Amino acid sequence: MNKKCQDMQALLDLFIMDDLSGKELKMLQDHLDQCADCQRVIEGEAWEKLLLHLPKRRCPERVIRRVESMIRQERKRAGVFRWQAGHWRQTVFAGAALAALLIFLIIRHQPEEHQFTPQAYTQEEIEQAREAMKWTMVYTAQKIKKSETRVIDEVFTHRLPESVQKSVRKVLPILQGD
Amino acid sequence: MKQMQYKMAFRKHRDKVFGFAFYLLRNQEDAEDVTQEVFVNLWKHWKGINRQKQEAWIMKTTRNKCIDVIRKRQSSLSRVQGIEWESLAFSVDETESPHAQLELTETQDSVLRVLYTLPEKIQSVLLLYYFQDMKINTIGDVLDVNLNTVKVTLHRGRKMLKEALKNQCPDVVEGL
Repeated sequence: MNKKCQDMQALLDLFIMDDLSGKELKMLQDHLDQCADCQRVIEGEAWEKLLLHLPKRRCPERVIRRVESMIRQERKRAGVFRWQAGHWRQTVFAGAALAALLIFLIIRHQPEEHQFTPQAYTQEEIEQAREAMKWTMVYTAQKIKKSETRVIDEVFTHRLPESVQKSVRKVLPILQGD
Repeated sequence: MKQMQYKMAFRKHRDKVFGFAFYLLRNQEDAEDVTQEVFVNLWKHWKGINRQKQEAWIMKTTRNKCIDVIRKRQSSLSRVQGIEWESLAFSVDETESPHAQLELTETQDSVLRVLYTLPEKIQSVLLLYYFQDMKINTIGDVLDVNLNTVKVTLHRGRKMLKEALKNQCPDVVEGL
């Protein structure tokens, strides 16, 4: 790059920033028409400088305020967690007490229809039930006696095999209490 | 102690984060949301972040959040590219000082339009390198790649942008 090219570099920067006067622009244009090196430089670098000189964006005040407010909330929350970490026994105890209280209240306030109340019977109903029970027992005893009689009949009419008859004969006196 | 250090980091990086998110997302509101999330996350993960690589962590989180936003946009198809581009020029907060408002030259506007047609990774590298003036090794930490990969991506990005400018905006290239 010769001296003239170096001079032109300054103009080139101003050109990229759209800050050239008409006279300077003409000078630069004339130089670029003659100088292939500067042509290449401007082709290769101009857009890069454009990116370099993009307008800077400042973070808006409202974002700064929002972030600060959220950080304050985070700090408060962290403070609560720290307290909980230091007082975990008390926290657990309070939780258990609260749970016990809740269970007690739930049981105490159960609806009346769910509670068991024994049915009251009259004396007459009780007598009737006793009578029914007595007759049921008599009936069952008769049935058992009939079954025994049938078995004995079976034994003595030789309907059972000989081996079974022998066993029954042996056991019979014992069953009859002899 | 943590609060002081955090405040310093917030003050140092907030404009960078917002600028990077803004140029990557092309939308003021989304860039604000991303900035907010990044700094809340910085507070939450303060203990686990290496102080030497704090800037890289911040920019990496910013990029990841921006990618999430872009994915959401693509999936919902709620916004179209044209509207996004318009928001770059017009979504400027009226309450800010005039210096903060976007004043893109026609050429910058064209270069950015072409830049946005390139893959996201190339966009990120070029914006980090040129706009954020970040060192190559820090860019490597942001992108989770080694130094050589950054160099190759940067070289490829330059080439792609140049080619795209020639194809899409020949008048701009001639003008340059």
